[in-house]
Amino acid sequence: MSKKTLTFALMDAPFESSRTATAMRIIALAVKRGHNINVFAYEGAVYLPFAKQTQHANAVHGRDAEQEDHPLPREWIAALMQEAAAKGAKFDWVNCGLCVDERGASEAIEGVRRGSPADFWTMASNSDNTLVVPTA
Amino acid sequence: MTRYMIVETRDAHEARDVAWMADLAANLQRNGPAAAVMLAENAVFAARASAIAPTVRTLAEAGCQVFADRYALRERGIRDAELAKGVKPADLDVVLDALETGASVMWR
Amino acid sequence: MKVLNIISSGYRATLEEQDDTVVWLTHAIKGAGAEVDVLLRGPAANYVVEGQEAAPLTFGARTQRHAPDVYGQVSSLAEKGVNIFVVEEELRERGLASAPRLRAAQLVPKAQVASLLSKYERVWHW
Repeated sequence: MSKKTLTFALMDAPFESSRTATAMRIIALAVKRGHNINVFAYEGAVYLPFAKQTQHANAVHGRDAEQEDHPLPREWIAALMQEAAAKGAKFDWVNCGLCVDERGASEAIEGVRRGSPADFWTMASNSDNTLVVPTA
Repeated sequence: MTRYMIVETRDAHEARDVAWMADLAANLQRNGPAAAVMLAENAVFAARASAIAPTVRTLAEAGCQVFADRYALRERGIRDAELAKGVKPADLDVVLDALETGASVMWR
Repeated sequence: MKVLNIISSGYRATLEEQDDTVVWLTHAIKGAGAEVDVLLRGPAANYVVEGQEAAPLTFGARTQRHAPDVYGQVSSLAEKGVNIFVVEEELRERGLASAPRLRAAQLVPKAQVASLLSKYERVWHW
């Protein structure tokens, strides 16, 4: 399969819904196949690349923070960006700016840019396909 | 070639709307271009042959391809041998395949 | 690229956001040049019903300035040339078959939704 450009729209905040992990799994597969990826993060999804996500200990399991090694979506995203770059593919993550403002989520990891639904339309128009992952 | 794919993530016993989506997939299949469904997350509960859920029967009778996410099945302890006739365990690759070939993929 | 936005969830976070965020996004991409239509179903089917009044919320001394007007949002989409389709059964099941509604709303029987989808290059389900 030749290299495609795929756009994904995400809406869910991290740690709230199983949709996040399912969507990230599909995006990861697309990165593995070497496709160019666009992600438009809308509403709570602007927190997925939030730079201040921090690991914590888990007293119920008797694990300190290092042992718990809690997943952080920002690390998943950073890792996928790295994998895409290593494959010579693009990975463009746009946070909806107004969603960022109202949530105070402006501190995102490197590589994330601020945008708007117009960017989503541009991405989708220039993609081979687009998948919208709605929230509940 | 699959023209439509629906990724259904909701438990059919919890969300009445799952039946609506099964009807839509069946109608899309009958209308012409093929429609497939990927059951993921809690939607895989309907994939068991013993489940009281008409979702899979509706889809199978219409001729839709029905997949169930292997990861979600294992996560919930559902073995391949328990699956209803017509349900194929699959990885999420099939969703990516559909996107690559230009299918309209709708997520519920 | 002709797109159909299917909107199912209705009144989701509309009070906090002062808008339905997917109807709002549809306005935004229309403004960016999108050729887009909307199919309302589920609770969102109620968006075309007249007489809706969300009052501004007050918490302590803080009163909301702009309560959401989902009917108005959908109505103005129609004014911009966006086709507004509504699944007929969704209105009937909610007892709204004869309720006064947006004149521009085009009812689509459930059995014809598949045929409607086939008219679009992309179908996005929100």
